[in-house]
Amino acid sequence: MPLLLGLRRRIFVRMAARNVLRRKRQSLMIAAGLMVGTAIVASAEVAGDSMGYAIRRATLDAFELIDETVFLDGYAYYPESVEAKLADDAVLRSATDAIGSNIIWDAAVTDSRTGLYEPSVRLVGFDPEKDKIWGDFRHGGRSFDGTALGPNDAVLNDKVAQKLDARVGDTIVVNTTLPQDPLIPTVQNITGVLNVTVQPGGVIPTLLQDVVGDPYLIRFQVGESAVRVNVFVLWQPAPPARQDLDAELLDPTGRVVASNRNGTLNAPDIPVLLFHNQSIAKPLQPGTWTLRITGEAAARTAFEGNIGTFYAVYSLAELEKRAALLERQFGGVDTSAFTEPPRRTIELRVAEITSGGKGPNFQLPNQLSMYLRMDTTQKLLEREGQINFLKVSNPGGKEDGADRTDEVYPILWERLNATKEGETHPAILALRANNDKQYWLAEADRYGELFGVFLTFVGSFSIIAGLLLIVNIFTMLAEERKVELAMARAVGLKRNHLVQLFTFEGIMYALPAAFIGTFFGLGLAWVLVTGFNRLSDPSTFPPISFRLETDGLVFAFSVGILLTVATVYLGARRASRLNIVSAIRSLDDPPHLRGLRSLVGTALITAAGVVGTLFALATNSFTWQLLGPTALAIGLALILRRFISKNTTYPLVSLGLFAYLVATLFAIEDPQTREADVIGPIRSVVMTLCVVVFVVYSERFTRLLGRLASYLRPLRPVALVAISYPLHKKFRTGMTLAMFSVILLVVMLFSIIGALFFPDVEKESGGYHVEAVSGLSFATLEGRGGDPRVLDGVERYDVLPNFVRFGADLVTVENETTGQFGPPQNTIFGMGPDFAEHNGFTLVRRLAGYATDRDAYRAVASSADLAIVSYEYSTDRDGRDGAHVPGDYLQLRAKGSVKEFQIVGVMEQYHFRGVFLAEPVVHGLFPNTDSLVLFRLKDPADDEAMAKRIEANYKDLGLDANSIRTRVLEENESFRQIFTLIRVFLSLGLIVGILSLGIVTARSVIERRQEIGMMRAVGYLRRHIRRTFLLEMLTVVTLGILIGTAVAILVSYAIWYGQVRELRIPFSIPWAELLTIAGIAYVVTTLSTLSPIFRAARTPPADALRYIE
Amino acid sequence: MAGAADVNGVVVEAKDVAKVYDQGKLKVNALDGVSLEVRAGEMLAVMGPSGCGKTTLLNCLSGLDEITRGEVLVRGRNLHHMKDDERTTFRARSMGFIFQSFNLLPVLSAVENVELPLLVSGHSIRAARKAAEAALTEVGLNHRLNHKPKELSGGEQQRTAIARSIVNNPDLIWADEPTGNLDSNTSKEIVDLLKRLNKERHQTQVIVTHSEEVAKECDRLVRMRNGRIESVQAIRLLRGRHV
Ligand SMILES: Nc1ncnc2c1ncn2[C@@H]1O[C@H](COP(=O)(O)OP(=O)(O)OP(=O)(O)O)[C@@H](O)[C@H]1O
Ligand SMILES: [Mg+2]
Repeated sequence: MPLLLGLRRRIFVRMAARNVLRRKRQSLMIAAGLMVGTAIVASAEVAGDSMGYAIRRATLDAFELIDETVFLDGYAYYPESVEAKLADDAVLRSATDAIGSNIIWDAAVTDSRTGLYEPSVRLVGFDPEKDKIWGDFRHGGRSFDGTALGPNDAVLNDKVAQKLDARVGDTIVVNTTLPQDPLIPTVQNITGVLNVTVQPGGVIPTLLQDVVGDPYLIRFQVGESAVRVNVFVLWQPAPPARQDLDAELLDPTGRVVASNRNGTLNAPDIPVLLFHNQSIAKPLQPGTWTLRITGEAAARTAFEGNIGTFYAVYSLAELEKRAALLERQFGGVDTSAFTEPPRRTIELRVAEITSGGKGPNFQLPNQLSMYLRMDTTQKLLEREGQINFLKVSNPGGKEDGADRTDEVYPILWERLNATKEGETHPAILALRANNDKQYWLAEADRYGELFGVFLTFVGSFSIIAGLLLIVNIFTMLAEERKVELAMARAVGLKRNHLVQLFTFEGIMYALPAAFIGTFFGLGLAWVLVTGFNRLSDPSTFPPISFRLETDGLVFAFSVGILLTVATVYLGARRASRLNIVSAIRSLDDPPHLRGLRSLVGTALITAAGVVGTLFALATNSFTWQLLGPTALAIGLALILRRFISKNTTYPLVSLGLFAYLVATLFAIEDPQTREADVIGPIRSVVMTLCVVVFVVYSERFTRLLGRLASYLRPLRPVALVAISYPLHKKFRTGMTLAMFSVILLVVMLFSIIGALFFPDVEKESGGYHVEAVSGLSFATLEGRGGDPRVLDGVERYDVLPNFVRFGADLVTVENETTGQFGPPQNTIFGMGPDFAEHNGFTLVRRLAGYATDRDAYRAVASSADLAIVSYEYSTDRDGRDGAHVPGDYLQLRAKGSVKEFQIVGVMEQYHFRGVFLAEPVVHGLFPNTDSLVLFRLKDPADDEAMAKRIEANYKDLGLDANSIRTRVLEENESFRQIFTLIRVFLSLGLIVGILSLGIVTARSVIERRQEIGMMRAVGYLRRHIRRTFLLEMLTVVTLGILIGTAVAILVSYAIWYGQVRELRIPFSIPWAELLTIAGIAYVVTTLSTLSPIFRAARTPPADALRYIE
Repeated sequence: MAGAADVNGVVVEAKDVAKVYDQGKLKVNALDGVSLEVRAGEMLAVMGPSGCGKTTLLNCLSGLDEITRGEVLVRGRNLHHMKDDERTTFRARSMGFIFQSFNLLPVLSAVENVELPLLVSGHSIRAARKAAEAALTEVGLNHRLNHKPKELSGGEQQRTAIARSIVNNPDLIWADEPTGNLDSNTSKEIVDLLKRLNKERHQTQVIVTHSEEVAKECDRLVRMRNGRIESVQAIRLLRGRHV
């Protein structure tokens, strides 16, 4: 529309065009400011698309031709007959391209040549002949189908090969657990008193036939899929010796399937145990089973026990249901009672190495896989005739196949269910079809979009800054052209016309700026993507290929234009509000006209504020709790300023609002909603603006600062002037300051929060470089390992015995569970005197009475009841930081009793999470411990290589050694990547801020030439002039940095307090980084303002005095 | 420095001063060989049509502007042989300036404006404040010390500017159309003030003006045209203090 209007008002367009051309520098600046907005939107879109595409790519590479799958949770096994049945199904055959099968399992792999060890590699069994149609392996431009593989051959994927340093021809030792079918018991308690004849004169053994009445019978049900029955009976009190009892288990037909006659009770406290076991393929006969208890026993001998009927449960839902039932009936099942399944070992030859091509190829983050012949796999796992993974390919290729999933998936389900008919095998009955590829592709798009939205959000601060810049420039342009505009108005141009004139001018900037901005954004996205790829570890995230989708660009372009035109319009309105008379006389604008309009505006805002606040009180709505009082404050300020001066009203109101918002940071919990995600950042911005308004309007206070500064000799003649000017031009200063503070707020905020997640490797590693874990217990490496010279590169090492227990019940602090993040787990480390003496793990808190960290460590190492804990143990159940302090007591439940330890120190590190006790204490409590070996290297840079050498040398100890630095960084990889991206993004905002300070300074120098002339006339030297402007600029920058940083610290503390604390991460401020950012801001803004400042100082005073704009 | 000027001595001596504004193609001969002596203690008026070079003359003689040719001696010292800093300091010590548009800093109060020349020449804050208050009292503005220029009338603003020009006790005042923005009553007050300062402080004053009223209060009158001095005439041959 504006363009059509423009045609009608050619004159304006011409005037606007002339202005754009006349002010080339400003025009460029405005265009740059506008471009930033568009560029941010564009790059966010493109980077989002690229990210989505990367996940898509990875999904496709993992699945290759597979579109749907059929398997059970935990990869439970079932007979391979299912595959044949499905493949023979005519309906399915016509709907799909192929159906195939695999075995998928995990194994530990050691390369015999290099000695390197990987504890978990995905093992894929495949039948090379049948699998031909599922694609060929690829490696370095070569492809092969695996039919050449012998029974003892394996194909490693390149990641495993890299980890093991393996090459073709190597022998690898594969060690794996045998698959166990998942069983869960239905438990039935039994109690009773056996009726036995008592002979006069004491207890006399009786014969079986003397037992009065029927044998004691207990009946119970055995369902369809039960595979095992366990019976457990305990006599209470224990019957005297020589008195025996018989127990028998009868199936529904009355056949005795298990019995325990006489004899067992030789040792009276041994319970009667009966069990009957069927093979998994052949379930127990369903129906009413009987437990028969007979025999000679003491009178009134009570018994108790239970009958467990074990079912194979393949459906996760069913498993959970039964577990919940057990939990209710028996208070949980002691899973520790389940023993480790048996293991098998096999030696294989590395026949090939592959980098993909055949599905399944689970190479998504960190997945290591190897391929074996199906028969080899089945033999190794003792699962002949069984498989655990079915794959289905739709018509179409790798990518377009998934488009058919909507069609094929229901058919697959239906045919799968049809196949189950007549089957009794519980695993077959539980089989599920999955539309994995389609699901993951949709996820990829969703992630991409989320990422784009996230980037836009982060970039929005820069966009806001860019828009503030535009408003600022427009206002300055208007001031500069005041006289000209006032003349125009004097000769009859209406205010609306002026608005139009300005808007046209703005559009002239907007169109090319949005256009260039879009392309600039494209470049930026490319930089982002490339940077991301360079920074990220290819083993944790696949490289992103640069991806361009026109939709995104068109969107960015439109948003760019829209934003610009809107801003320009607002700027134009402000600019057009000038007062003719004062403009012509070049005076300052008189205070605002208190017209009806502004009265209505004030009333509306106040009313909205009141309603919003009331609404907030009534509904507890997070949004209104923030917006209501904010609107109320604005309304209040607008009303009050009619009666009291702005200089009193504004600082007071802004201070009040600021205080309120700070309170909400801590008092109101952020709901985890999209709405809150938007309102939360807005609150930070409003808080910043409050401080800005406060500073700008607290003239008395600020001028006092100026006065104080003038006591410094070199500043004496300049301080007051430099401080006063920014106060004089409140709108301009406010805008600049706001922009600068907001940008710094975000930069600082992300730095602080980034730093929280950026582990300080130094602190985390405690001065060690390599960590190695082993399931064995040993005190020293002396005499172990093949080559003792490996230790030549080691300055020292410490062995810490440790006991790991999954579940939260091992340790409490002050009888309370501590904060949990992820699955609960407790590790108890034992420290010897050497570790106490030499470790470098700093304590964040230490019990009074220990002068140094070292003293605390020494005390714990030689004490039976003191402990040092990693950071997490200082939190409470809700993760509240500092809930527990040194001096509190920690309870350790072991060996059936509770031992108490006093905490003397809380460590800063959270990489080695656990409780540190004296070594003998740990050995005393836990006879079987694992070992953690920490190595301090002579050359820390050599950590990766040393880890490999150590691992290889001590393979007999089963050491898995890793560089601590790498591990710590890996744990935080995704955060690191995202924060790196954010930095790139935010630096854009800084550019805007710097541009704007440059403009403001240039403008200020021009406006004040006459004053510069006067100052030179009364004796100001050139350097005084420079100092004045520099000080003025630095005041704004310093204020901006201070405000931004202060609010950032507040907000990040609140974020940490509310959300991050639970992650057991201590709050710390990366001062060095913040100072660096501040330093950069200083240097760059100074550089960008030097040219106008020097120009100002160089102008001969006469010229300056004569200057008329 | 007050009264330091030699009676009947020459304070400023201009010899064949020329000033050419070089605007590329266009060269403006704003001063075209001007020679002039300003005598100690006199009030010298400079008049002439707009654009004849009055302001240029004042700027060149006071060292605010560079000259193209000739020589300017102030109290025997050649202004244009000095470095910029040296000249600025020299100017700050011995001269005061009054402008048509007052040129007060709008962000500072009256007394702060008057303090500036003292602060820049190294006086302590307290001394500067005292002297500034004294100067403002002398121009009759002791009741307006903390007003911002916006809050002062035109005449009061010019008095503030005058206070600023005398706060350093210079014995030479340059005034470029000091009454140009003022009505005739206020003009009269300002001229009276200048005269009083001239008399009491034995100040030498060079006043560029368009107003005959102002000019006739002075001792001598220089008339300019097209960058040259047309005539120099004495308005009153004898002034009381010269006798
Ligand atoms: N910076 C400059 N560049 C070019 N020409 C200039 C410059 N300053 C002054 N002039 C020209 O020099 C001439 C003398 O100017 P000057 O300001 O000295 O006149 P004036 O007598 O003070 O006039 P008025 O009474 O209007 O103040 C004029 O023609 C003017 O246009
Ligand atoms: Mg002039």
